[in-house]
Amino acid sequence: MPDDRQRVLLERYVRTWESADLEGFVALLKEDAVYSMPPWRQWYLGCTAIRRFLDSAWRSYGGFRLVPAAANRQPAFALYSRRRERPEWRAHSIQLLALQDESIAALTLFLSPQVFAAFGFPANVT
Amino acid sequence: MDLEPYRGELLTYCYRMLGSFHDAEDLVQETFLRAWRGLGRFERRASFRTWLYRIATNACLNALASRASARRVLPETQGPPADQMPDGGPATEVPWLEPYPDTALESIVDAAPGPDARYEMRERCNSPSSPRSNTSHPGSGPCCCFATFSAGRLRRALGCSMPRLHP
Repeated sequence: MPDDRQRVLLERYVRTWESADLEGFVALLKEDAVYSMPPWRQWYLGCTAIRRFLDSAWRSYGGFRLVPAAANRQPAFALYSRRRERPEWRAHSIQLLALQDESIAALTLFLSPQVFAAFGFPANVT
Repeated sequence: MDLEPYRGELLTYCYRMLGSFHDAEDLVQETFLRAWRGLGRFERRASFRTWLYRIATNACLNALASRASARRVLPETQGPPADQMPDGGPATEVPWLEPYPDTALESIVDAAPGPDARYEMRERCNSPSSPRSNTSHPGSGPCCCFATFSAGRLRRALGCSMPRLHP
């Protein structure tokens, strides 16, 4: 994918997470997109299943912030989250994206703290 | 003997075998330790880099052999997609594949010991590397691969061959 179109896609992607815009996020996915989040075994296939999962999962969060990164020569982000009751941002996951035809074909969230540490981002941000 | 210039490329190499940056860091430390201890036995029949990669390969193969399941995996290859919200908690006992931070690729030193300097990398999935030899013998295991790089193209080669996490 040409760099400028990829950049536009990634900017839209970041905005959907940071504004908790679920419909906007789902619109960026390929029909048969794959979403997984090791160390959880469960993974979700397709827009509908991913939308249903995130609709439920996002409810317990008060917000997300994404910091650009790169891994395995793919676009990535360090995701920070906070709970509704607490103001501080905590390391949540490293997100790795597979892009295809100006859509997201796969999104993997690595939840393990040792993965986050490998990228050198701080664990907490006040 | 300063081993630091080799850290970046060995990290990438060990990651390709182990599928975890964290494990790769541990194995590179172990490789350096074994290299320091074994410097007296380095007979210069192979290049120093070749010798170092052999130590790293053996260290990684030993680490893989001591795990119940050697290969690190992603959830989408381990079972059908879920149709419910997760329950029962995360499966932390499974060796999950982990991403490699691209910033670590920048530390690979473009070492150039000479125009004829070459090193051989031999990866074997199922058996330890054979006794010292500079000739290439295709291994007998089911998944053997052999790659030769000239030292000057190492950094570019490793960067290009960094495995994508999603196929």
